[in-house]
Amino acid sequence: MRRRMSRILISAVFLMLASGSIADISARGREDFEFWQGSELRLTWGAMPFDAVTINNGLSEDYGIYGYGTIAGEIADSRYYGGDGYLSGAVGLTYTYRFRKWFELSGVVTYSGYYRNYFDKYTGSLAFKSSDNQISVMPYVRFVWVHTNLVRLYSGIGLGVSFLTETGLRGTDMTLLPAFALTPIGITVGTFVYGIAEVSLGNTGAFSLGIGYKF
Amino acid sequence: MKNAIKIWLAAAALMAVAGCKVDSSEERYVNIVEEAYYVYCVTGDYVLSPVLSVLDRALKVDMYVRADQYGRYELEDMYFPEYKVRLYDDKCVLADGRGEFVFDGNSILDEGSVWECTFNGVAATVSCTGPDEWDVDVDFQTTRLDAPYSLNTMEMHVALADSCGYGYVYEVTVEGDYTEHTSSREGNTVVEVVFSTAEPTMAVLSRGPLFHFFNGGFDLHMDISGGMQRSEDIEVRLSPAMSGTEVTVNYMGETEFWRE
Repeated sequence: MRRRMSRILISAVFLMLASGSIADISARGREDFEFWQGSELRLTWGAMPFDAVTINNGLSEDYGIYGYGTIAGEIADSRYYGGDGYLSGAVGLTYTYRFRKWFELSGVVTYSGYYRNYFDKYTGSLAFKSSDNQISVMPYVRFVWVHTNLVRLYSGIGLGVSFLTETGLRGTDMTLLPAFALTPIGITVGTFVYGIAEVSLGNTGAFSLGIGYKF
Repeated sequence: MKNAIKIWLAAAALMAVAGCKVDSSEERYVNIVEEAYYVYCVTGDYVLSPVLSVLDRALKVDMYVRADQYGRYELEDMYFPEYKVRLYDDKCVLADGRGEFVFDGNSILDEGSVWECTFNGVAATVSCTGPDEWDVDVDFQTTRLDAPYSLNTMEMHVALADSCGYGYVYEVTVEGDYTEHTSSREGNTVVEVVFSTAEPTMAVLSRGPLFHFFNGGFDLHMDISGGMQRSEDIEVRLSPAMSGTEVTVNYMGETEFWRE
């Protein structure tokens, strides 16, 4: 399973970077490409974001059905069993403005979710759907320390807020939480359309892949 | 540009398929009969054991009363290590207030003798009805089982079947009902359990104050009201082995086994 995941991740990295390179064919034609101030849009997917949704649902696994020390607890509270549970990872949309060759300011919106259906153990039918959803919004500064026509290497940091909703059998709870992203290293390959790979700690995911467009 | 979009879509699909499945379905853990086994365990541990303990302690107090001074030291160490035993003319008190056994002047082994006993919240009259046989009549007004259980009715007849390294082996015939008042995810719930031995069933003191039942069985009926409505029969059958007893539970048309 781990080997399969590794192959998938490595393949995904190559796909991302290749997407930038292929799209960059037009850019190669511009021989004297220079830095210019402008905007970018990025779409990314990050695995293992450090957020409430992932911590609450990704770091623990349920085994079996639990009672609460009474007959009613055993029967009522264990009436439903969970189906497969899924995490979405962090899906991010980023708007960036390039102020300097080495300095960029971004606004980042990320979504992270967890979904699980629960079933009645007597009938096997769907009893209710449970989901946790977290949307984070944060300003993010990026420091580009290698800048060529094709490749940028950078670090970044962002701090903001996130809204967490938890929906289950008893309704929905909402919580306001801090959000952050600390990126020690990220790489983009491509000029106008580029592939992205990042290593981060925070709401954007521990390892992110994506694609961006510079305009 | 089109190529890039295609590659992005392919990568996104790849990631989606790669899956972020973090919890597997619990369906394989679902065992409906487990809740019936739980009802049996509650009945044995929280209802039958405390009442049977009264007789068991009364028999040990009787041994203590009839023993000489040196024998009493030995019995204190063996049966009452956690209590200070205080012996009076008409009663024996386990001095932290957990037990009081009032004699009628006779040994509890004497046919016709009647002792008024209180032990661990259970107040009962123990009457010797024959050689090594007793009725245990619970005083429901003063008896307090461990929360959230309350005993409504009970008729218990016990015969001494044997003694072994674990202590006395009793043959129990019992019927009655108890109530559990509790709150759960689905609201306040009242559970009424009617119980009876399907046949005389053996019991031996096992873990601490709890009795282990074997070689017999119980018929239980559970009515739940409040947060949810249920009315179910539970059939429990116990294999003859004292150790490694196979507990067969029949519930809602399904049968499962446990080994105790």
